[in-house]
Amino acid sequence: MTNADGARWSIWIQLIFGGFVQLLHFFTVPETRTTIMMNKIAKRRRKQGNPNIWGPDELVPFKDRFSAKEILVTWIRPFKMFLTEPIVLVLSLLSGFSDALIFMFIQSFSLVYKQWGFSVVDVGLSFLSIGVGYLVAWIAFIPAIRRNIKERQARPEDERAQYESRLWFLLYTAPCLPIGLIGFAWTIQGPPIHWIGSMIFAAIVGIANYSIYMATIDYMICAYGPYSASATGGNGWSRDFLAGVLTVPATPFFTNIGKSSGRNLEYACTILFCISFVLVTAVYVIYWKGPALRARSPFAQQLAQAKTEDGGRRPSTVGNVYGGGRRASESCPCHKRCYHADPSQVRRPRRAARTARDPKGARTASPSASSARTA
Amino acid sequence: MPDTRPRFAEEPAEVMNARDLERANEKLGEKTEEDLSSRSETLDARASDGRAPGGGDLEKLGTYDKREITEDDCYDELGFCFPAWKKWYILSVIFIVQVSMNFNTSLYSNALGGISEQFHVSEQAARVGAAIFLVFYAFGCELWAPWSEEFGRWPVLQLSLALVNIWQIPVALAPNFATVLVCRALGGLSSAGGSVTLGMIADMWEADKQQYAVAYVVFSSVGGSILGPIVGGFSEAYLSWQ
Repeated sequence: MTNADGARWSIWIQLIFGGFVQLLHFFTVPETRTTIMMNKIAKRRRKQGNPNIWGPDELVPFKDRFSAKEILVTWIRPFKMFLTEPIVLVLSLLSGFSDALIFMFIQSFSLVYKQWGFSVVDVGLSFLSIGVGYLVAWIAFIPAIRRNIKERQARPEDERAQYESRLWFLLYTAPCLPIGLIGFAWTIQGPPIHWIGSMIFAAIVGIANYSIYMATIDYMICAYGPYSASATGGNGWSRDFLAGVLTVPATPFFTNIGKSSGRNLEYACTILFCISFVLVTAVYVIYWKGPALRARSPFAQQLAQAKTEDGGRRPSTVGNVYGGGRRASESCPCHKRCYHADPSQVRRPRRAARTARDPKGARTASPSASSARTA
Repeated sequence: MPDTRPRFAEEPAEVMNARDLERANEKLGEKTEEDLSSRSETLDARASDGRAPGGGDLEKLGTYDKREITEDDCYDELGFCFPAWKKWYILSVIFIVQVSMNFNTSLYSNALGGISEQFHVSEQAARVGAAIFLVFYAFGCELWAPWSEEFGRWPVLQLSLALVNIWQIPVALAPNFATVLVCRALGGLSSAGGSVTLGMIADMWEADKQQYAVAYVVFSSVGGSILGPIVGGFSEAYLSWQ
């Protein structure tokens, strides 16, 4: 029963780690959600002798704010965007594929490295190579972000500088995915080739996985404004879903293809290389065609409209500290980018719509006030 | 001929309801021109302390005006104006939360041998426990996120972490493989991963200034997945001693 005890321990380790994290969060992290903080601030100001200040959630009863229909709409929106937005679809598929690769590696590294006689611990440590790739990519992104910020400030009227420039660094790091995979495929024959070769290529795959996740969500946050939570939701969903679905077939995939030739691992990785090659081209297509794709998107279009109303200013050139967040709050009843906003509802002035109530406590004079929160 | 009656503001609804404004304009219409400057001062004063010094006839106005606080009113008290150390500390805890969630997805794979031995299923069947967690995790992130915007990040994340931890216990003590699968699925569904953590970045950084923070959290997300097999190698090798 030794293996079973080991299995049980791996679950207990998760529980110990999870319990520690929960306590740390319980005692040291405050609430950060803007609307909840505003409720508290309003309550405090009323106590300090300003009886008319109310929080955003205090003026409208919970059942008016949050309907079952709205919940369904917000749950469905990430999937709707995944299927109807070409940008979300192809970038999420690329992102999901690169993450699923890592989970396929988790199932197959023991097959690869047993050729060199690696122990269980050695196989575990071989994942450090991917970790090194992540670290390299993270460090490399810091100057890339700095460059991107400068570019956005320097060219406020250039659409590509404002949006697609966030994919610029990915143009150079995305090819790491096919390069890493084809290199990995043909350095895993076992001795006499040294194992370090395959680990270097695994690190290159790690660089690609990090860069793809980072750049695609960064671009989606910018391109979809108030709907970015749904867009990045589709991205995250794709990553975990594909990783989960491909976990089960990973081992047969690595062991059965071309088994008779004894090159099954190499063939499997070569197939993955071909898939990644196709998906990576999407990055270049979106970099060049992004403005046209966004122009056709009802989700991205509303953001552009809000900007036009704002005098055509881009987020980076809005002089005050409120930047992009303020615009998000104008197109949606929530205060940040969120799950509430609905592109079919183009509404502008929150202030005119939902401020006052009449003395008897009935709902406001303005008929649009109720729709502002519940739409 | 344009309406020349004195008015308080172009956008009345910001500070008072329409009925009050009409009443105020009626009264003002009866007054002479020189009263006007003091009236507008009165309005400003009323907005800040609820009283109208020197404007006896207007004192009652605004008593019933419930005014919604805006981000602009309290911007310096919101997450955006937390000091940098506080933002990065919160983000570091979120970093660890994210690592633990992704750690849960991948560490299970090192238990495959033990699970297949204990429950007499093939290793390939035991892998379903890893897959089902990830698939439900994918949906779990989506299901939790809207609630965190309504009730706040803190309670939602606490509830999620508590449920994830609770579902670990039956997995470890499971009498049969079906229990393992069901509790792994529920554990995955309970994980409020990437979407809530990205939401917390949006609470503290404006959309235009959050790239460094996103880069940090992305590292925790991808790093957590490979921490699983690294730790798992040691647990598989050294904790099977009984």
